[in-house]
Amino acid sequence: MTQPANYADIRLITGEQGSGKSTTGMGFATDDYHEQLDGIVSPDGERIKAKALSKEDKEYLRKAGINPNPLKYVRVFSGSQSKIIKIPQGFTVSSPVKIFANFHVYGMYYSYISLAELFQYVNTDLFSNAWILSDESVMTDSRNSMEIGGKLAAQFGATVRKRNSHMCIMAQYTELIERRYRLFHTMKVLCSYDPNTQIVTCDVKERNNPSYSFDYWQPMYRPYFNTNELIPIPQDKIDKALAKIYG
Amino acid sequence: MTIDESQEPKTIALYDRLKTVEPLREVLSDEADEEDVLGVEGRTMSEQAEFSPRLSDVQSALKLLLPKLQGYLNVMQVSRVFPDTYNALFNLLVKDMLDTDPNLTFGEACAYVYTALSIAIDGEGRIDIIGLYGKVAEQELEKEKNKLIGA
Repeated sequence: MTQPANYADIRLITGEQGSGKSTTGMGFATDDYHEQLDGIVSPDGERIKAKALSKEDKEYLRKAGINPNPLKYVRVFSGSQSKIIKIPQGFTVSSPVKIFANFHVYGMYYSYISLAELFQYVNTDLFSNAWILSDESVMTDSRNSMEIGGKLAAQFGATVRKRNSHMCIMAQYTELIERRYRLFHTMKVLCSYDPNTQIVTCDVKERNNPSYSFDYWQPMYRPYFNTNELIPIPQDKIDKALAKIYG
Repeated sequence: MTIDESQEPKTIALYDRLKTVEPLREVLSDEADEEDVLGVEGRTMSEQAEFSPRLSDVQSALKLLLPKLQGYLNVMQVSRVFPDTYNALFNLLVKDMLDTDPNLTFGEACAYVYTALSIAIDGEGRIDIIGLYGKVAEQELEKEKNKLIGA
């Protein structure tokens, strides 16, 4: 995706419990990661050069009666030859797209990151060209606004454009998210999930653009994260709370 | 995302040190279901978003004002139906729809005709939607403003 130079991509993904917020955040990163993949890696660590399916490849698969799922099929290269294959079981897709998340991601290279690590590397280029996924607004809770951590997190948000990064903040309500992110945000997504069809519907409002909505099949992204994973509360906050309670 | 190639090797090395990978989760999924759904959609979330029509506020309102209905009911819903002719017209149209389309159930025919005539009756349906849409947009704007100023 190419955006103007002044575009700081901050996406607020909201919705009630079980409405598909985490899946939607994961979906943005997963799709971009696979769109720019550069290889697949065998369980033994052997790397094979690969690319995402082109438009023609997808058309070809459709004609062959196969659904051209870009998360499952790739074009692999060997010398001057190439062919489309289904990613074999146990292989991992490699991509130059970096993913940082405060929850566990499966089947893609990523870095698990806490608020403390975010601050540790805040003055480096580490978060450049990356997707930063913050679930349950742990990193950007509005209640932490006036704490030193909250202030640093807000300052980090202001540097997202310069880093050419994409930040997805998943929370039930926008009120739960730090005020500056609500000011900065460039996209707001409201999710809802139909358990009968397993389809997530996203109502999207992008800054300066008409609103639109789309839906997608949620199980497509289930292998990439665990919806029941507990997002840890930063240890220093627990320590502070304990100190207040027990002196 | 466009990748900036000018990254320092130091940063890349740091990320390589921090990054990790875990195998894909085994998820209980019904392959048949997947094929069915993908057969219709066949797209990832980003592709779905890309193909989604970007409607302006007015276009969204018009879409609500004029839902796609069966055959001539599309015309009927933009006309004006006078209340004293409503019942007779309703019976006539349901009967006609059932006669011309054998695949249509009685319930479906009633639903379609009811929708078209409800919108058309004295033009009230459309006026309601326009009024409601304006009100909602106004309220949303006010809510957003309050949120931003922290009220």
